[in-house]
Amino acid sequence: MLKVKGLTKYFKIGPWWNPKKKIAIGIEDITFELKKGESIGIVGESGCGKTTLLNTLLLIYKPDRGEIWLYGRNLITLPESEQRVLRRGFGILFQDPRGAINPRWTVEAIITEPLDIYKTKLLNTERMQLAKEMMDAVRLPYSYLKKRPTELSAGECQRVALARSLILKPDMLFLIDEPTSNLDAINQALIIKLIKDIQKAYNFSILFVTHNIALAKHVTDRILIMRKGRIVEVVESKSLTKGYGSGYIHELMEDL
Amino acid sequence: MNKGYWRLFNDWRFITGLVIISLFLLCGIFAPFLQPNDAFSVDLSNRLLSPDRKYLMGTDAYGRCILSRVLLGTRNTFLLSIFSALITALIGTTLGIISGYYGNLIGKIISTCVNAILSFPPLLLAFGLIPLLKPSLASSIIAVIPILSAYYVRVIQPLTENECKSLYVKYSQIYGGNWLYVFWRHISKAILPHFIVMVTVDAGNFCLIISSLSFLGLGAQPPTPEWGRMVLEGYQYFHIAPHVVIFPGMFIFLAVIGFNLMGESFRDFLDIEKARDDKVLKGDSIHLIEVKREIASESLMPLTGMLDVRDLNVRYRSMPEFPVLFNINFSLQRGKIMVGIGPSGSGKSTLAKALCRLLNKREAIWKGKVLYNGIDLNSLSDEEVMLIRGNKISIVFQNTPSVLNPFLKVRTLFHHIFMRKNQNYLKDERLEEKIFFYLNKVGLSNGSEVINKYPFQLSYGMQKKVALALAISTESDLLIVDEPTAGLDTISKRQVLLTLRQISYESNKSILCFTHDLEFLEKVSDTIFVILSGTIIELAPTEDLITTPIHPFTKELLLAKPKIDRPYLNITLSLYSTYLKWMKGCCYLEICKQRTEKCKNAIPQLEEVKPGHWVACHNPLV
Repeated sequence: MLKVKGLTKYFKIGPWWNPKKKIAIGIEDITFELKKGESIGIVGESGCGKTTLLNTLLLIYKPDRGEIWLYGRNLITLPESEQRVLRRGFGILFQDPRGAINPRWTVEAIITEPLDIYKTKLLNTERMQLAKEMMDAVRLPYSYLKKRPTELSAGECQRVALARSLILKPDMLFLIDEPTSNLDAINQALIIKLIKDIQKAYNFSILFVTHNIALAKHVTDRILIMRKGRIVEVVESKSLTKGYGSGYIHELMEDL
Repeated sequence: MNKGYWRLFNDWRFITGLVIISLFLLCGIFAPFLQPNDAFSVDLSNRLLSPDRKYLMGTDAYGRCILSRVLLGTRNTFLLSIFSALITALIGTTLGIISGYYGNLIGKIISTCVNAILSFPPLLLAFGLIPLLKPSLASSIIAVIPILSAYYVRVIQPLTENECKSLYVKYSQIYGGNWLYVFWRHISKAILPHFIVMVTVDAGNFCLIISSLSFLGLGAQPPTPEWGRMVLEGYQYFHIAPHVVIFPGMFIFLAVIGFNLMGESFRDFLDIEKARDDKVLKGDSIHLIEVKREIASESLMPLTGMLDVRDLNVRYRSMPEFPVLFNINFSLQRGKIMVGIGPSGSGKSTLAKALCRLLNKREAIWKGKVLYNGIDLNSLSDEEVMLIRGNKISIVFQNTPSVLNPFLKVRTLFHHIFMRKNQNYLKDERLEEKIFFYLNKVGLSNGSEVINKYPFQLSYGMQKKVALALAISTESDLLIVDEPTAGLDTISKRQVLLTLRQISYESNKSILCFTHDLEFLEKVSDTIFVILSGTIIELAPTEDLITTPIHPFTKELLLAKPKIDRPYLNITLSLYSTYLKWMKGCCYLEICKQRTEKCKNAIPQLEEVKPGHWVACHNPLV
């Protein structure tokens, strides 16, 4: 379903007047494949290119090399308008729950935002119905639709962001960037449980970026270990146990 | 935006301003019908008449009716100033949005031009520009508009830029929202309040500018009735006919006052709205306040440590019914590490601040004792606390990037600390070695590279370490660290925490650390306490607490930590909201599976169940 081949992105560092800029590796030769309903974890220390990979997949950064095949079509060569249509199938969950939603809007406006962007012609009652459905899915009471993000806790904000991404029913892919690193352990467990439940209900694929390998093991089927912009190891989650591997992966696993 | 704008009407300033401005508006619009006499007819036989029946405000040097001229002048001064304020605002806002939205060359050109304009005093610049055109009302406006719109660009540009950088705008853009969408749904909402305030205040400014330019002979030319011009014309007769000056001057005064009152009340209103939002952010759970808890008696814990906290209670003045910290009791021995864990919003950061007396007196009320080596910090004066804080007790805050001054190099940051100890610190030949020594202690071995960098040039993990090194360099015996691992990955986390462990071994320091992160707990701490809803519910040596938790919440919290060799989501998480709930009884009542009648009615006190293991629970899991 999603196939990534040799994806590479370099960054040029230096002042604009300097023609000989240093080149830093963002990501290099990333290749993997994701089937429908499957979930993949991307694990590594900070600065290893996890977020760059995600941003390149979303085409926020223009990749220097490589191909992104989505449903048999190469995203990179498509014109902007078609990219937009395909991106509709993405769900996104960011790391910072408060920063990801506009504090000036009501929860209802936040959740139904994707409908506005795609100019879906819906009656107000249908929109409300959909919003309520989403609130059920993320297990928040309907009374929250009238609240503002400032009145919610961080965990609740993350649920609202999840509901927003779900409202278009992304049937392809859910990109998740460290959704729980700002939350405490219990909120983290609640959000993860929710994501797993929703994945079962909607049968979508997950690309789960995290630095916590134990969390990745419990959420995903396969784990790609990244280091310095490259994939250094691919592990089946089931085979990952305490004594597994050595070196870098061992370092990531310590105390988990 | 429906944040209850009607509340503006509770402000007398807003109502007064509104009344004045609407009166002027009506005068301006209906001036030709309201004027009692012709404003332009010269009658030299009636020069400088005092106010009487026919001429309610008297006549000027040419025998023209002042009331009629002032009313007509409302159009030239008042309506024109509103109109030009709007035009200025539109031009400035558009440019501000463009330069904020496109941070590239266009944005840079616009902001350079704006900087050039802002470097002149505005009126002086206008004086220079007007003679280039022909002195008239129109040319004075044309000269002033670009100058004042520069101020709008200055305000609007960073607002737009911030908004564009935010994740929610990024989200809209990923999903294909174009610039129009982003402007309409996000940016307009962020700038509208500022826009309203600036337009109101600027309309007043324009009143002043138009009339002062006319007063100087640069604006309106005779015989146009204009307030400032009228003051100029009547100025020489002030000693014989003061009304010629006083009436137009009064109108200028009233109009400006009206605008300023309105602008001020707008600004205060928006500030209050913001403050309200901030307050809500601070306490995640104000909406859960239920019943006030009573203050309990002295604790049974013996005084042993270098830091003893006894019955510490903290409330915020904004919500006096709701104790943020409730009867906190613990003791910390020399050379030991104590870790406070708890969900976010349970009062950890407040406790960290309360221990150093960093809470603002205007915001918080506190009671109880914080004994540092037997001295009660809460009984000392502010000056005495200053001597202890920073020398004996140091603190590392949660949000490191905002704590390190971005304008100072790491070297200078250290110098500031040495300066406290010794005024002649620069004469110390081994100054650099000293800095390297502290940087080395936190695991930054390449000290010579680090000290010449600015904080923002370092990665987040390195900033954390530098902040830690700064805290150690004070040579204090007590180190309070708030969330040392927030935002770090597994590997940096371990480095930072092992650094803490090492510091406490090597220099026999006590460390108190607050975190919501459960990784590496057992490696670092000697004692752990669990804090929930501002109360300590369990306090025990690390081994004890991790292997045999007694309070049901602790058990659930420890199970929620993902581990490789343990099934993760089998725990029974029964609720989705926050735990903070204030009741007569136990704060964990609603979720607890073993609750009894007693839990509903009595607050459990911290009691020693096993040696060294304290629990606040009516039905402990022993």
